[in-house]
Amino acid sequence: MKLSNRFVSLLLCLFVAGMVGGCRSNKPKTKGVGDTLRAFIIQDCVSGQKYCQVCAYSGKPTIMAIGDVNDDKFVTDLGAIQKVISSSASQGLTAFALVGSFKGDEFAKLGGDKSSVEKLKKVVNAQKLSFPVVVLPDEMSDAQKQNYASYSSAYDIKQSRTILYAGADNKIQFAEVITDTSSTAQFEKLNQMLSQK
Amino acid sequence: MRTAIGRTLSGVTLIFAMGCVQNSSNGAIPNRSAVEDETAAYAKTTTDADALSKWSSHLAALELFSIQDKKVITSSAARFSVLGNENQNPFLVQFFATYCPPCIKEIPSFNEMAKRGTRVIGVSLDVSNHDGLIELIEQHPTQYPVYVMTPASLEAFSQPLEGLPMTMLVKDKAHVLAVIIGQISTPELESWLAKYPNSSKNPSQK
Repeated sequence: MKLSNRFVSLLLCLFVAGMVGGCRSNKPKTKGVGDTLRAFIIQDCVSGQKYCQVCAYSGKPTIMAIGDVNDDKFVTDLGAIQKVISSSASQGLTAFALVGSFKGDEFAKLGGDKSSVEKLKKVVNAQKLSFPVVVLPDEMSDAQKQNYASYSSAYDIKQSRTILYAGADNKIQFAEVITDTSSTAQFEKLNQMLSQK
Repeated sequence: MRTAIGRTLSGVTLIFAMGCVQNSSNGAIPNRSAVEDETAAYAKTTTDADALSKWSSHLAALELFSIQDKKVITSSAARFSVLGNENQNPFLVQFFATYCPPCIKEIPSFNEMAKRGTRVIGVSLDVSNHDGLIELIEQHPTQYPVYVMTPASLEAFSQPLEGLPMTMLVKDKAHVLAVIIGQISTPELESWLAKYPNSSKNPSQK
């Protein structure tokens, strides 16, 4: 009887775990054109504030750039994004850059690396970026964990220098990894997309 | 399962929020940072006359699809102004999107206000995700009518928009009295409406 109860408990646990897992994997991860920017909690590297960036920029065309903290070329990309933002500000275009650490094709948070955050602050100042450079927070409240998907469960971005652009309807129209040989053409393509709005 | 837990936590958060804002005595919007709120970083209240005048113009021009029988009716759109209150009592307009968790968290607050007789109108930005919107409403039923912006309206509205959730207090056809960006609780809505004495009657409710 005891064994039976334990077996039932085990089955119940597996069922609940399956339900939760099923719910979490219900939505496909965001990775390309046609997907949507999904809400997750970020931390502004300058102000330290934690918030939902996608919510803050709801209803606005938004560029989301994802890069590695040690990728100097990504820093160059941020300057290019600033130019795009400056030339399209009248259209309400907004942007944010999410910085972490790519280990293989896995994006990881900086994990309390204060020197990296200081480095990012310097980048923001040096490049005079008008958009926030953000990181994944080390800690989140239970409510935040409950109400928001984690970045890793919501996004499938495998490379540094990935740029996503979503229109006001939050649907991604541009999703490319910027390359050394094509960066000029890629940003020109993004500009053209914005000018056709 | 997750939804049930989420609702329970939302309730707990709401109770916590109510406790935090009870000290507000001047009718102003309580200190929003006192409430656990992921929108606090960009939350703001707009009462500037020029800004509100612009919002009134944007709101009046807004074209909306209605929802009937769990379907978004895209065959015809109505101007927001036709939804306005005949009796000129101020009412609440909640702007939200399915991808915005704090928007979903505040639905119970608007439901509570609607139950108490305040007129509430929901306006969704989900122009490309009607199915998701219907699913959301099924999971989080609203006690107030919900409309969806037309794509052209969203394009125009995105320019002044400064984040979600956004709540407007409106009177007459589309006269915006105040705008709040950020998650809002029942006590905050109560204290806000208390500043406008005739704001508690919903024409559809006695």
